[in-house]
Amino acid sequence: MENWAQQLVNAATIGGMYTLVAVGFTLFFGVLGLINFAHGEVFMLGAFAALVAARILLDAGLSSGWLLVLVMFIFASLFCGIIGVLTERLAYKPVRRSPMLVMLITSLGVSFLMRESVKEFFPDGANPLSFPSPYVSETVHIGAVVINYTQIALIGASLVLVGALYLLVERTWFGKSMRATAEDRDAARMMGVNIDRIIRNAFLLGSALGGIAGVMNGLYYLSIRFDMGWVMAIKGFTAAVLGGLGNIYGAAAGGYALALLEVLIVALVPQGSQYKDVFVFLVLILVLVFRPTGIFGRAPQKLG
Amino acid sequence: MPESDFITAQLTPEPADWRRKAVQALIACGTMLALFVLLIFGLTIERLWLFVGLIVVVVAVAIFYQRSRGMRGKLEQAFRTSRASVLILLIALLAAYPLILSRDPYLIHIGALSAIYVIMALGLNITLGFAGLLDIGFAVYYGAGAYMSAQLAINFGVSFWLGLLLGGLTAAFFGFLVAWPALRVHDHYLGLVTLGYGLMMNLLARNLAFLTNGTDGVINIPPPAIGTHAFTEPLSLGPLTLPFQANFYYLAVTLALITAFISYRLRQSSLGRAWDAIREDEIAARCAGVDARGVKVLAFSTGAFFGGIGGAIYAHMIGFIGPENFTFLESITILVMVVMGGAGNIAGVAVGAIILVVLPERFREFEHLRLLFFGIALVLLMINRPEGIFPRTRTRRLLPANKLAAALPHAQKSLSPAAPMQAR
Repeated sequence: MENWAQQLVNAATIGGMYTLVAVGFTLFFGVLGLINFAHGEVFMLGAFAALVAARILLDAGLSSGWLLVLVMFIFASLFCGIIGVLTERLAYKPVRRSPMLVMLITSLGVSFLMRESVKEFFPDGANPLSFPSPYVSETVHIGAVVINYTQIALIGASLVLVGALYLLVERTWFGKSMRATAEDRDAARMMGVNIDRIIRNAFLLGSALGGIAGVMNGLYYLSIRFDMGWVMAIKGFTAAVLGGLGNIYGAAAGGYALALLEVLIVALVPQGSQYKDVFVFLVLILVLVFRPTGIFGRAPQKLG
Repeated sequence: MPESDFITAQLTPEPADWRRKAVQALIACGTMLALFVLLIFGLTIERLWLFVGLIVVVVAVAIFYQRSRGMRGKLEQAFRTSRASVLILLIALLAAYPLILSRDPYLIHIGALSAIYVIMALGLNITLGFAGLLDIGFAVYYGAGAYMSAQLAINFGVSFWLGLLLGGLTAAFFGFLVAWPALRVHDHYLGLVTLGYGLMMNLLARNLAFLTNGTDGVINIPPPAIGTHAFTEPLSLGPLTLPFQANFYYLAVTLALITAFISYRLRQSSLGRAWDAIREDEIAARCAGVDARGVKVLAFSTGAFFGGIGGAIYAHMIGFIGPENFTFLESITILVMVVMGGAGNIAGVAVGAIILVVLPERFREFEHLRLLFFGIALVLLMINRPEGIFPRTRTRRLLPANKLAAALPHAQKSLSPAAPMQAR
């Protein structure tokens, strides 16, 4: 029983990251009809940006603590937001009206470019780099369940971010026009929505959240690598598909559901950790084929 | 060529003007020869900066060629009218390649590798280019064919030739497997389903050790043999002795030519027309009586078959096959070969495959930067030439009205004899 509770806590931590990445996939798909393979690399860039920020601050004499973590989050989200806007402007905008396959391959190209740049040009970028995480050794015991401070922070942060996202999408002009764009781009334009700006802001938002997920990943696993984005990209879009591509709340639920599924497989299936990803891909295929609108069955291509 | 010219050409066949034809054949063959010499030159240049300069010049010429419509029209016309001579020259040049480079086994090996990728890219071209079905898991078929023929040869002593066929059929079965779920989804979702399929199969190949020997891979795959001549022995042609790589080269090139021929015939067949139809407008095609499910399954299986053939040759040539041979990156590489060359255009896809094999090999010293440049090239290519270097030529058959009327007697009255009928 304790073991189960422990697994659930772990699932909630990982699920938060999946969710933040999945939200990006769903946003891009909603406003642009793009499956952005480079989003996993943005996640990775977030972790590396935070590492740079942390190194600078630690060198400057800041003792590690909550402030450091906060600065890492802010810096990574800003950096990734800018990267997202830049890639949209330089790579995706020119092919916006092209067939889906062209956009897909463009995003693959961007993904290679980002990953290989980090591997080549970041000092010692080809190897795993250790990630500073101030509170990982301090733990809370609830019964036999051990939760460290980092996990509490990560679960909390992802819940807060999902809540903020809800307010942004439901209560603001930006959210409303983004939903309108996703529903019908041309009609939204005729209603006076500046499509270019909406797409740009969607990239800013989605990439910033992806970057934050990258920092979380670093804080949780204490080590980052240039090729960690690819796995997360698959998990992220599986989560997005699970919730129905284009459905933001679906993506949030899908992220936690996927993490739970992984934990269950590892616990229940013999040699589960070996076959964990096989099941993830199987779920991806089955959902796409039999429930293409996601497990909640809402219409695809509509944000909200 | 403007459409009106084409109509006139069809309606009033010109008297056999042998001189004009000869000139055109000369232009076409001369261009081919020049390109071949350029290729050999590019492959054998020692200094890398010279090679880079060569590429820059070629790209500049290509852009200039693209811009000047007159030149393009003339060259296309020349190639179209002298197909037979171009084909004969092509076969002769392909046959001559190992003879010219007989001192350089490595380049012959590269030639064989290119031919293998041409086979696989032409396979994907059937699925993606002809039928318009996105398959991001093509490496599955490559792996299926390779593992099947390798394991048959090692464990049951099955000859390479039978193993080749069985490998192809196994791959076709794997294509058939993904086709059924894939029938229910379109576009993005189809891409994601095949992507998931590819990743899943790769993981299974890593883990199902009793079938695939896991991550260690299958080693010591015996080479093919014709009679007593094993493919690892040098190939002696009368006074000439070619390094053993030439065996594989001729094998792969022959199969690549056969694949191209089959692709060409398939495109002209009623099945090819059905693929065209579902690619352009599936609903209209269904309304016109095309069995969309059937032809889609056939597109997946046929494409996969050639993927398996390519994989089987590869396995027996290298002598080793492991899960890292058919990863996601491999699927993407084959996909890009097709898209870069121009999906649907057989010659274009073949050129795309050759470029993507030869360039990385030339820049072997910069292996670590390969993917970086690959990424940049993909983005630039998609922005500037989304339909590939050689976009597909749309089939535009313009039947003269009298022929059409003869084919459809009941329509004879309603057609004025001069009006050409356009059918796509």
